[in-house]
Order: sequence, then structure tokens, then C-alpha cells
Amino acid sequence: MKYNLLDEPWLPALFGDGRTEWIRPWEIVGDDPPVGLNPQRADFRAALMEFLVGLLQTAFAPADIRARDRMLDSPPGQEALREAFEAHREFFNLFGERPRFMQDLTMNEADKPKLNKAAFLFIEQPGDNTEKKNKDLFVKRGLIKTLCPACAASALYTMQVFSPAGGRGLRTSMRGGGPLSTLCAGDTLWQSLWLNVAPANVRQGGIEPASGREVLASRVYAWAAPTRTSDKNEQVHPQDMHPLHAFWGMPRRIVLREEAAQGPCHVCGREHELAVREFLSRPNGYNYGPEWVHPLTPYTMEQGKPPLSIKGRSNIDAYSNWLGVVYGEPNAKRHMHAALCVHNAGRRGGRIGVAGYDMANDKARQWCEHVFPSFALLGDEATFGAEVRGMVAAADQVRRNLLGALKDALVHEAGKNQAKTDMSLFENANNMFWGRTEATFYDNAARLAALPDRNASLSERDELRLVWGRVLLAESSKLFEEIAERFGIPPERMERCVEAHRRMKNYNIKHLRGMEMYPPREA
Amino acid sequence: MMKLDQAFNDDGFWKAVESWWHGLDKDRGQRAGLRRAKSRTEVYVSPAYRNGLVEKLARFELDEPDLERLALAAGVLAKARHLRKGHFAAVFAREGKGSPDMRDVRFRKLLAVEDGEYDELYRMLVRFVDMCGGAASLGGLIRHTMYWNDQARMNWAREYYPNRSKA
Repeated sequence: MKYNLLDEPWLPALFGDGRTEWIRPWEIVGDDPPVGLNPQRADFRAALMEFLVGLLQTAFAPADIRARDRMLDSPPGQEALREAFEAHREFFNLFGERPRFMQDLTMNEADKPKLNKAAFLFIEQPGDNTEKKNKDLFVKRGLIKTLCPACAASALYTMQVFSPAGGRGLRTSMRGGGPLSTLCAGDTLWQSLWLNVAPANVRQGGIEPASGREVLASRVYAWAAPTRTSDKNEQVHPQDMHPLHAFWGMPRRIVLREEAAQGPCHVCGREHELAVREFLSRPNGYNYGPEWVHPLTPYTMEQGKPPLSIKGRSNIDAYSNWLGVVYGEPNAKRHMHAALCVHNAGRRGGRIGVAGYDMANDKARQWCEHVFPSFALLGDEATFGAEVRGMVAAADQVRRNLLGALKDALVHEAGKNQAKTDMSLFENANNMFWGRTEATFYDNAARLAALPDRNASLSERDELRLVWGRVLLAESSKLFEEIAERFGIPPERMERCVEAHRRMKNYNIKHLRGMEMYPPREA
Repeated sequence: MMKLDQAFNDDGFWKAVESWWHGLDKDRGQRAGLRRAKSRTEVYVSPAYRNGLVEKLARFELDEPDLERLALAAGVLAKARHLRKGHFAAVFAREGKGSPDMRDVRFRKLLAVEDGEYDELYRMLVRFVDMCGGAASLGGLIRHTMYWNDQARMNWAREYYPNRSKA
């Protein structure tokens, strides 16, 4: 009943020719290296990427940024990785004797653990209560009963790193429920992982390496020591653990039950001699304090308040989130900090994958995923940030004017306060507005990034601002026509419609003028 | 054969229409013939239309359905004494007689004309020209009376409401 995650080929890797093969962690490099991961589920992909970044960070961290950058294009050999991981093997057993990977060390019969179906390892699956009340609506119960060891490990890690609020004593991940994971992407799997690994040099924005087995077993890998339970809401703070513990947080007390398999895995469809159909659990696991800052997640910082992780949400792909996620927003009243990994990837330009669950407490609304571009900055960062923030602020104001005008045009006077009843229309208008202005936004941002210092490029900046204003005006008008003035308005409502449109245009022009995004009035 | 909307892109088409309209001053018989018509249909079948505008536009080889559509504007324009630029709804908004409130009521009646009721639309627009003291817009009437549906109504509304005069 042995299954060690450093020995078994359990990671679904995607290769350049399109085939998927299951590899061992040290096979992320090689003569024909994989280009990415290709698991059956998108949440697995984000979690497994984090797993590998965490493993490299813990067992193979580069000394400094220069060493990191050097190895981007000349990865180590498989043997070097295997040796580096060797010292950590004892912490990566999925089954068998404890300690077991991401599982409680001491839970036993006396704790009266609860026996759960394997499906409860998945964030989006209907929970106990939903099943009892017969409320599983979109994701139906009973589809996932048997897991192969690889999928069980993936599900277990996904649950522990993204774990949502789950009811009394079911703790959230150290980043809160449904955190956003932001990872820089490269051309190969190795690059996509390595770009996100911080140097060991703390002064360079690095993460202190762990020294010796004792530290690993007590303060990095939470499962090698008795769980710090939280029956009375006791919290675990960063100073109680090693900084590397961020990658190995274990808010849920879980012990998997392995058994001989009867059939294929319900997630990946592969056969394995072992299967997980049930697991044991207890509430009140690690209860992480609010001071934790995860290196792969952006945070909002406000003076005098604990950092607040950015969460997965439906409009995560809107570019209003872009500046903060990619560059951070140090000038705003509430500082938004890009994830450490994004910050360390530096001003190279490239792509940044963002992903996370949009949670409503314990209910997963959706899995959200998007790729943001990132541009190398030629000029100074503060100027760039200010210009982009201005663009976003203008867009946001125009968007609000659009929604207001739509309400004026479509909702009866008496019903304006209850306009939420038809929210999907406004929500769609929102998304369409962000979507249709997106191409110009990134185009403008790329041009701004390529401009030298402020004074040398005044006229280019002016021109870009005017371009932006034109696009915002045109798209808001077009959307208004499509949504409010679409066919079938009774004649008595047309005046309201036309008036709302006219007012919106005037507001927009006035506002854009104020931001130098529309030509000034002729004197 | 050319479709009417293609002809709109041809300067020659507009020159021909204008010269036809100015020619009505000399050809009182034709004007009277057009003015007697009480509906688009009557314009369409009248000798005055056939021997006048239709003949002027012969080289564009418009088909019968397009000529029928064009008859509406021809009949309304025969009532006009002055030409203005732009959409006819904007002309009416600026020059229509009566109080602003009454004008709004009349305009809403126009918007209430049902889809494809071109004879009704014709009668309404003839009255509008009267209320504008004989002012009308040539291009506006020709372009915007081709089809009468929700899209057209919205276009007329977009031109009318923002251009209303206060008095």
C-alpha cells in the first residue's frame, strides 16, 4: 500500500506534440521536457502548479535572483532534481504509515472521526447538507465515487490550498476561501514553475530555506507533527511556522482511506490497483491567523488592517484588476500588492495566469481563470501606473454612466430601486463593456510601457488618452443602442430612451474632458 | 438593375432627385397630380409619378418594389416648399408648429404607426410638412421612409427628441 508522490508518475504532463503522460515530479525537466500540466480539471491544474512551485521552493530554491534567471533557460538535469527531492521523500507518502502527505498525523478512533464520501474532497461537489435537503442543482451528487491515488492526491492538495469555509470548524485555507492564484507563465513547464520560485536570499524578496529535518518535520510540513487544533478558535501565526509552510498549509484534518480498486477512477478514467472511496475527517484543524501572506497570491493592504487576499471572482478577467495583479498599486489608498512570485518575475514581460474559485461561503459559484499580459516597462513605473489607473478609472466611470442610463431607459420610475430583479441584463452589460474595450486597453498599455520617460513622450501620452476616450464613448453608445434601443420599444418609452442616451453621452464627454481624454471645448 | 440603397451612394442619384424637385415649380400639372394622391399607393400608380421622378431615374433601373418605396417620399416632397438638410424628424423638432407638448403628442402618433403601414405614414408625414410651414428634408425623407419598423422608429426618435426647440 505504498504510494509516494515523489516516486510515482502521478502528474499529468502535456508535451509539445499534444500527448499527455503521467510523470514524476523530477521529470518536469529532461530532453523532451513537458510544456505544461494537463489534468482533467482546471482547479487541479492551478493546484498542481502550486504544488510543484512549492516543492521546488522547499527543496531546490536558487541562491539569488541571478541564479534563478540563469537556470530559466538551462534547467537542471532530472538527476539533480531527484537528489534534491530525496531528503523530502518521507513527507510525501500518500498512503501507508503516517506521516502521510497533507493528512492528519494523530487522528484515531478515539477522536470519533466522521466518515465522508470521496466526493467531499472536491470544492464544487454538493456537501452533506445540500444532499440532505435535495438542493444539488447544477453539480449533481453521485458522479464521483472512486478516485485513483493520483486524483485523490490532487483533490486533497486542491482542497487544502484553496479550502473554502465549510461550516463549523471547517477551516479555510491560509489565504481565505477561494483565493486567487497568480502564476507567471513561460514556454515550458519548467519555466512556468521556475519563474515563480523565489530566491533563498531574503533581502532580495526571497524565502528563507529550511535547515534540517527537524525544521521540516515540525514547522514546514504540517502533517509531520500533531495538528495544532483550533477547538477554541486558536490561531496559527506566521511566527509559529516556517515561511515555507505557506505552500503546505493544512486547514482541514483529513485521513484518506485507501482500498483495493473495483473499477476505473471517476475523474481521470484510468485504472489503478488502489482507490480512495472514503476519507476520515475532524473539524478544527489549523486555523490560520490573518497575517499570512502567500507568495503566489496578490493582497490588498490597508494601514492598520491585516492583509486581505484577492479572491477568485466572476469578473477577474476584467482589466480593472490587471494593474494591481501584475504591477501592484502602491499609490492607491488601499495598496494592492502583486503576488511575490509576480513581483520576482520582474519587468520581463510575459503572461500571468490567474485562477481561483468564486465562492459564496461554502458554495462554489464557478471556477474562474484568465491570462493577463505583462509588459516590460521602459519608462518609470509610477508614471505608467498613474496613466493606466487613469484609463481604468475613466472606463469605470463610463461603465457606471452606461448602467445608470440603461436603468433610466429600461426601468420604470417606481421600479428603479428594485432594478436588481433583472440583474443579469446589467451584469451582461458590464461584462460586454469590459470585454469590448479590452483590446484597446492592452494595446494602449503596451504602448505606454514602451514609452521612455515622461517628458519625452508627452504628445504620445496625450494621443493615447484621446484614443482611449474615443473608444469608451463609442463602445458605451453602441452598447446602449444594442441593449436599450433594441427593437420592440413602445413609442411612449422612446423619449425616455433617447433622453437617457443623450444624458449619458453628455456625462461621458464631460467626465472624459476632465481626464484629458476628450478634446477641450472650442474657446 | 440597381437597388435603391446602392443608388443612395451615387451622387448622380441625388442630383437627379433635386433637379426633379426644383422642376416641379415649372411643371404645375405634375405637382398637382402628386398632391392629389391620398396615399403612397396612389402616388405610386399616378401618371405624375411615372412620367416625372421615375423617368428621371430611369438609368438606375430601380425595380418596382423600390419605386413603390420611393413613391412615399415623392408624394410628401411634392407638398414641400422649402428644403432643409438632415433628418426630417429633426426638421419637425425644430420647425413644427404648436406648443412643444402638442408636438410631442403628434410625434408619438407618428411613432405609433404600425409596421409597414405606409399609406398611414404617408398621411401623417404630409400633415407634418404642413405643420413645418412647408419645410421638409429631401434626403431625409427619401432615406428614412424606405422601411417602417422598430429600427426606423428608434432612428426617428433619436433625431427628434434631442433636437426639440423649447418654444
